[in-house]
Formats: sequence, C-alpha cells, structure tokens
Amino acid sequence: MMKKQLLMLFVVFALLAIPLLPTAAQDQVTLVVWDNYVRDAEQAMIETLHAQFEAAHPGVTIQRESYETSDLTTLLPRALSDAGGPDVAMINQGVANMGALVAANLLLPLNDYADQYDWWSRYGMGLHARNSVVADGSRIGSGDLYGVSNIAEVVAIFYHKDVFEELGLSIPTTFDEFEAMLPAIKEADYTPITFGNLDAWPGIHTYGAVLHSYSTPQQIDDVIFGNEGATFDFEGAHLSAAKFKEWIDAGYFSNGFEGMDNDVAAFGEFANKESAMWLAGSWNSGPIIASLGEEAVGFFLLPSAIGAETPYTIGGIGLGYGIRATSENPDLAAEYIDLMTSSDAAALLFENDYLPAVAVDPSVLTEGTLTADLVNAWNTISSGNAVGHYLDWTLPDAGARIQELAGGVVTPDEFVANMEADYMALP
Amino acid sequence: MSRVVPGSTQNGATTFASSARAASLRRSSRTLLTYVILVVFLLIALLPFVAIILTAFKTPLELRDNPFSLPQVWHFENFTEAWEGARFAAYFRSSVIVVIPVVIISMLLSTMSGFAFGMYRFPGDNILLLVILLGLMVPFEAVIIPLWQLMGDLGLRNTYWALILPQIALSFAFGTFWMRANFKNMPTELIDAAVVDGCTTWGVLWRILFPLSRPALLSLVVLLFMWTWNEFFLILIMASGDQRTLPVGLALLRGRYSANVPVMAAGSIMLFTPVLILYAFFQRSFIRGMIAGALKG
Amino acid sequence: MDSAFRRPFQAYLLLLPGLVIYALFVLLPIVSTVRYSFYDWTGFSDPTYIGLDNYAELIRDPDVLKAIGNNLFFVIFYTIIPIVLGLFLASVMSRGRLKGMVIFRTGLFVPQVMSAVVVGIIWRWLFTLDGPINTLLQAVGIEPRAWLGDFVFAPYAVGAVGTWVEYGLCMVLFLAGVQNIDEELYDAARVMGANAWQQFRYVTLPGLRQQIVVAFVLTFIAALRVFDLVFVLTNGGPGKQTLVTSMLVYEETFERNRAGYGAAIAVMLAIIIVVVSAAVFRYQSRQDAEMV
Repeated sequence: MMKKQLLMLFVVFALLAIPLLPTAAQDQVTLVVWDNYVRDAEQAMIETLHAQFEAAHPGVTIQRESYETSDLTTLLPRALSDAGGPDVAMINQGVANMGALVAANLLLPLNDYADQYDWWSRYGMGLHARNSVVADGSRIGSGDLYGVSNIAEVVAIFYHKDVFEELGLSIPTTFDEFEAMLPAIKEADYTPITFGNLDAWPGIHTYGAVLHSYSTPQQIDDVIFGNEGATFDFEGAHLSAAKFKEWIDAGYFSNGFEGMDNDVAAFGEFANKESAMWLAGSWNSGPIIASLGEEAVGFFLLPSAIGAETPYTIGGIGLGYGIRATSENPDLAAEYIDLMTSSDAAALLFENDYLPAVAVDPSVLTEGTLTADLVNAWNTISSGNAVGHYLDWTLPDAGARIQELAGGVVTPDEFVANMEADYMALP
Repeated sequence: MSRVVPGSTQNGATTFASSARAASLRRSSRTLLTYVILVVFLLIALLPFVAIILTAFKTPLELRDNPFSLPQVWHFENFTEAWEGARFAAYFRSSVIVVIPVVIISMLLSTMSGFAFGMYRFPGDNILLLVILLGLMVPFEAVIIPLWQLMGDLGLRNTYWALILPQIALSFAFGTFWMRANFKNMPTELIDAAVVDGCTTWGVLWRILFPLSRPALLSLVVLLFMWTWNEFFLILIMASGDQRTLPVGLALLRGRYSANVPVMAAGSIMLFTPVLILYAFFQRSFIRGMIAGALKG
Repeated sequence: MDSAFRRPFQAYLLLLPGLVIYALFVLLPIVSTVRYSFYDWTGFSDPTYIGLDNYAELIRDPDVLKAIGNNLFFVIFYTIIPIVLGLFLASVMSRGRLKGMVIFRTGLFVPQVMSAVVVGIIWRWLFTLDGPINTLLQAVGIEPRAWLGDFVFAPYAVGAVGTWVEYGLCMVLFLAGVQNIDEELYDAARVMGANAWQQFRYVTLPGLRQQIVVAFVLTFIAALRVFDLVFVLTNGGPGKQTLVTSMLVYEETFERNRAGYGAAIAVMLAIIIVVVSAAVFRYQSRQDAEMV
C-alpha cells in the first residue's frame, strides 16, 4: 500500500517534469528593458519597434519584461541595484519613486543624451520638469533629467455618443452644465459616471478630477513639488470634497462603486453601455476602441468649476524611460530610448489608439474619432499650461483617505484636515 | 483518558430496551442529516471552483450571465492562450524546477533534524528548536530585502537557487516541527527491543522508525508541496522573467488580461490542478499522517 | 530515552546540514532585519543609524495600532471559527461508516490547497454587487451590498474568506485525531446514555486536545501573518479597514521605501507571535504534565 503510494508520488513528479525543456542560448549583447506595456493590445506595437531596433543593431538582443505599474515600482529599486538588472526601465515619477532612486544613485542623468538627441524638443520643458529630480532626490520639478516619456495622459471623461444623443445632451462647456446632466442621465436609468474604487487608486483620478476643477495650477503644483507655504487646506479642496460627496450621495457614480474593481467591473459597465460616462485615464482608449470601435465613444475635459479658460486637468506624461546608473551599455540604452520616444514610435502609438507625448501631425487626425478627441484634449491642456498631477505622488495615503470620504466615514472638511495632516507629516 | 461521563446514566437501561425499529429509524434519519450537513459544506467549498472552471471555457461577454450556466461554446483556446500567450508553459516549468528540489531536500533534512530532536536529548536542544521555530513566526515581507542582498553577495541572484534555498530553509523549520512530533510518538518498547537485539542506530532508523514514519512523511510531502507551489511573495521579489512561478505569473496577468477573465480562470486551473491531484491521491495517508505530526506538537 | 540515542554528537551531526541552510537563508536575514530596524533606510541606499527612533515612532503610529487590531479581529475568522467548524465537521464525519467519505474529505479540503491569488480572483468576483453572493442573499430578502468595499462589512467579508481557507486544515487535523480515539470510550459513553453532544463534550473534545493546540498555533500564526489574502482581496481598504500588520510592513518597505521602519514593525509582530505561541505551548505541556 505504502509502496504503491510512494510510486504514485514518483509518477506525479515525473509527470510534472514533462514540460521541462532546455532554454535558449545567450546572444552577444543583451539589452534588458523593463516597461509597463502589459496589455494585450500593446504587445505587437512594442515588438515592431524592437524588431526595428534589433535590425539596426546586429548582435543585440532586447530582453523585455513587462509589469503592471505597481509591480514595476515595487521591484525596480532592487533590480536597478543589481548587475543583471534592466539597462532601460520605465520609472514612475514622484519623490517616492524617481526621487528615491536618484537619491540612491541608481539612475543615470540623461542631460547629455538629451542634448545629443535633442530630446528637449520632444515636448514642453514644463513636462520635462516632471522627469527631473534634484541631486539629493528630495524634490522633483527641477534638477537633472532622469526619464523621457512617450505616452501622454489625460484623466477626463469618456462618453457614449449615442447615449448623449438619445438623451439630447451635448458636451458641457461649463461645470454647471456638466452637473445639470447628471440627474437627467440617472433618470434615464443609465449610471451617469462609471467609478470602481475597490483598489483605492481610481479615487485619486475621480476625486482628483473634481479637485483639479476647483483648483488653480499653482495650488496643486505647490503641493506636489513641495514649494514654500504649500498647503492642502485651501478652499478648492473643501469645495471639491463636498461636491464629490454630494454626487456620491445623489447616486451619480456606479452603484456599489466601493466594491467594484476598475479593470474588469468598471470597464465592463462602461463597455456594456450601462453608464453614459467614465471618468478615467486616456490610456483606456485602446481597450475601449477594441471593444466599441473608433467612433462610438468620445472624450471631453471636465469643465472648470472656478471659471478657468482651460480646464485644469490631471494628466502628464507616462512613466519615463530611464537608464540604470551601472548599465554596461548606456549608449545603446540611450539609442533605445531615442527610438521609443521618436516621432516614428509616436505614429505607431497613435495608430494603436494611444496618445503619444510627442505632438501628433494634425493631418493624420480623423474628425469624430476617439483618438482625435484625445489628441485635442491633450493639446488643449498642454498648450494651456493646465496639466495637473496625481495626488499620490506626494500623499501615499490619498487613496485610503478618498475611500474614507466616499464611504461617509469622514465629512468633507475632516477629509481635507486629514490630508493636510498627512501632508504636514511628510519628511 | 479516565473521565466519567456525568448525568443521564439513570435511564441507560430503558433507552437500550426501546424498540429496535425506532432506533434504526433514528439512525437512518441521523445519517440523512449527516449527509445534508456534509453536502451543504461541500457545496460551499466547491461551488466557487465549479464557477471558475466554467468561466475558463467562456468568452468575456458571457461573464455577465449566471456564473453556473454552461458556456455556449466550450472555448478551449483560453487554455492555449494562457499556456502560450501568457507564458504559462515557462512558469509551469519554473514551478516544477523549484518545487521538486525544495520538497525532496526539505524532507531529507527535516527527517534528520526531527529524528535528532525527537529521539535524542542533547545540550541546547530546546534553544535550538526555538530558534528553528522562529522562522515560522517572523513576517517574511521584512526579511525579504536582506535575503535579496544575501543572494547578491553569494552570487546566486537570478538563479533558481535564490528561489529554492530560502524555501528549503523555511520548509525545514516546519518539517522539523512536524517530524520531531512524529519521532516523539514512536513506541519506545520496539526500539528498546531492537537495541537489545543488537541493532545499530542506523538499523533502528531504517528498519523500524522509517517505516513507521511514512504516514507523517507523506503528509509532510503534501503540505510542503502545497505551500511551495503556492508561494507568492518570495518569488515576486526574487524572480524575474521566465524564472517566475505560476502564482506570480498569474498575478502579473492582472494587467494584461484584465478584461479577459476567462484566460485568468484558465491560468488558475493550471495553477491548482497539480496540488489537487496530489492531495486526492494521498488524502487517506495524508490524514493518517496528520496524527503523527500533530501529537505532542 | 534509550541507550542508542544518548550520543549528542550524532544529534548535532544530524542537525548540521539543515541548520546550515536555515541559518544562512532564514536566520541571517532575520538578524539583518533586526539590525535594520535601528536604521533609517530606504531598502536600497546607505542606512543611517537612528537608535530606537523607529520603535518610538511605531508605538505612536495609529496605523500600527489599527493593523494589529485588525489582525486580532481576524483571529476570530482564521482561528476560532475554523476550529469550531473543523470540530463540528470532524465529529459529523466520524460518526459510523458513511459512504462517499473520500469525496467529502477531499472536497472539503480543497479551499486550503488553493493559491491565495486564485482565492482572490474567485472571491472578488463572488462578492461583487451583481455577483452570486448578492444574488443568493437577495433571494432570502437581504439587500445587496458591495461587501469588500463596505466600511462596516469588508472586514467580515475578508474574514469569511479566511475561514473558508483555514477550516480545511483544522478539519483534517481533527479527523486524524478522532481516528485515534479509542472506540471503546464512545461505547462506554453510549451505554451510560450520553447523547451526541455529551459524547462530543466528554470523549471527542478531550481526545483532540493536542490537535486543537496545534491547530490553534498554526492558524493563529496565519492570522497574525496574513498578507496574500488581504493583498488580493482589498489591498487593505476601504480606508484602512482591512489593513493588517504584514501589509503595513509591505507598504512601508516597498511602497514608501522606509525599509528600516518596516523592519521595526515586523520585529514587533514577530515578538507578539513568539510570545503567544510560547504561552500556548507552555500551557499545553503543563496540562500534559497534569494528565500523566
């Protein structure tokens, strides 16, 4: 009996060993790249660019690893201190990420390469500031350049055109118009705004959008860059928190948003046209177009609640490509970054329904498509100096705090007080 | 065990005398109740898996239907997609490369240490045991960075050893705890008799103790296999690329297939099937072995 | 102890290979962790010695208190309920010879063999607003709610999943123990007219005392060290309602790059676990001594 079982055990192990196959041999030069292009739709695009690079550099193999942004952030500090770590990696902005890496001397300053390849002209200097860190890593916004991005981000509103048509709605030009739409949509049995906050970070986008609408760029810049006299306790913070809570209580967000995850449930609700709008990042355009096509969905900016000409909107440039300080092939890495952030790559990104950081040639835009809306939205905020920030760049507890506000555990004023206390407690 | 059952002794005789028919009726209704209870619990334990198995064959659009409805068409390609597209073949291979040495070496080492702690008395034994049990009590999230540095110092980073050795060390801690209890429960009369007959230490170990320990060893195999196979955090931090094992591979799918739950479900099935098969094979001796490990913990 | 096993040298020799690996890959990192808990350290830069500052901060940190409180709350779901359920199922299954026991024994243990990642995927979906659990509850007239995102109910929802995972281990331990109880004791109890509850109370329960201690220690450690399950279910939310200590260690170490502070929290948690486990084992050996 026992013998038979031991034999069985052996058989199980033997069966498990079947998929063991020898691994491929190594090439001459391997460029290790870590990025956050994990989505299915992004694979072909990246592989095309990699094929170009490898064709232009015989003997070079690119070894790529893709991680969700949160995993990337967790793993990078150690990977960058390892000799076998990535030569090129996408670095998240902010003091806690890029700042800490710079402080530990893990990243190569890119200024010389930026001069050589003229990366400075890829997009505005205000945006390069986001990938710049002072030498001791304590502040972002100035200092040397440590990353170059190829994606632009705008957090605003995707909407179903036919639902708007059915309800006789048009794109709102003022905050009041926007607010007036919400009860009308709800009455017609659509969820006005899709919102799935189980993982806490979507609140940083959704509440953050309302906050930006009530703020001036100076107020949020001060908080994020840690400028003299910065405070979270300003009027717009109070008003936006109260407005956000008011919308929640009125049922303008998804039913059960607190238990909905973003990627499956929230996306599903919007894609199934159970809601009229989704306040979300422009990077969701790929999956949206993949399931609904180019023309069914449009994109507009949440109008300013304080009457600003250009709506102040969360956005920026995506994670920046940086180079490991101890990389043995920094020149090759720089060439790689040059390709990935080039206008060729931008054209390819655009073709694949992404919003490139490099300006898109207006002639390729087709009026009435979602991608055209995205490009217009980005051009509006970047030329209008109205590109905002993600709160968790400096306030790591922001997600949990916003959940408390949304769950009604704290009043809007208490929420602002807690955020301010967190901010003041920062080192 | 010498406790006396108090109360309700006075009517023992009358109960005994009541009609046999009533008794058998009561027995069969009790059996029925037992089955009802067990079936309810079985449903709670298994229905989520039925749902996930059905999901693995559906299209993303069918997810909004009743989770227990059958797929309109059985989509086996979700499995192909997970196996090839999501690199599960590589992760599976890696899982196997890690789990086999971890289980085999830990079994060997903890049998030896369990034997030492169970059968010998030696200076410092209690302290040593405490030090070994410490490994089961410290939250690993903090230890992982020093461990990562250590692997760099030893030149083992980015090798399978970085995944295997720490898991052997952790399994050794639990295995020692388990096998020590096993050896403590060995019948001393048998050993004494063998020693009187001139058996050597090795003879006693191989001819008497080892056969008696097989249930405990088998249950330890199942437990260690299960824990090593499912290990997540250590692998997330220590492994990269194709060295990642199935649980980490599955977790990393979150982004990539966020809108394609069926592929994730197919991946989940690949992850839990081997453990399930192992347990189903060995469940009888596994349970028998749990006695040995649990006594005199 | 018998004469053959009195030579300590042999014992040391048997222990040596395992101990070397253990010392190198578990003990040494633990010692480093303790050392780093006295430093200000990002986890990848040069550490600065700050004495007991991390510990001074820790005792005043409301998050630490909240997290430990949540861990203790989870003891109910990870330890107490699984032990009660395990006892119940083991005694139900051990009554007489029933057909199909293999199926029940295998099936009921299944949740325990699942990777936390799979458990997370399944239960996140089961708990959604239009998910199966709410559909079921609606049938009996309970209002649907977003369980995992609810400030009141999220801890219970996460706890329930913990119970679902842990009861299998307790059940199997007790099933093994029940088989070891002398059948004559039950016969004697029956002859004396003991009903099912009395048989359980006076025969099964005392017979399983050692298994209960082991189950308690294992599940208690699991409740205090829980990480994966919370990570995949709620990530500590909503707010900090399901934040547990290991999760805080993770956040401080990996998200906020405060590895020194994370190490201090981990050391504190380890001390709590060691003290409680030692107390339980000591209590058991004292009881053993009394029984003899």
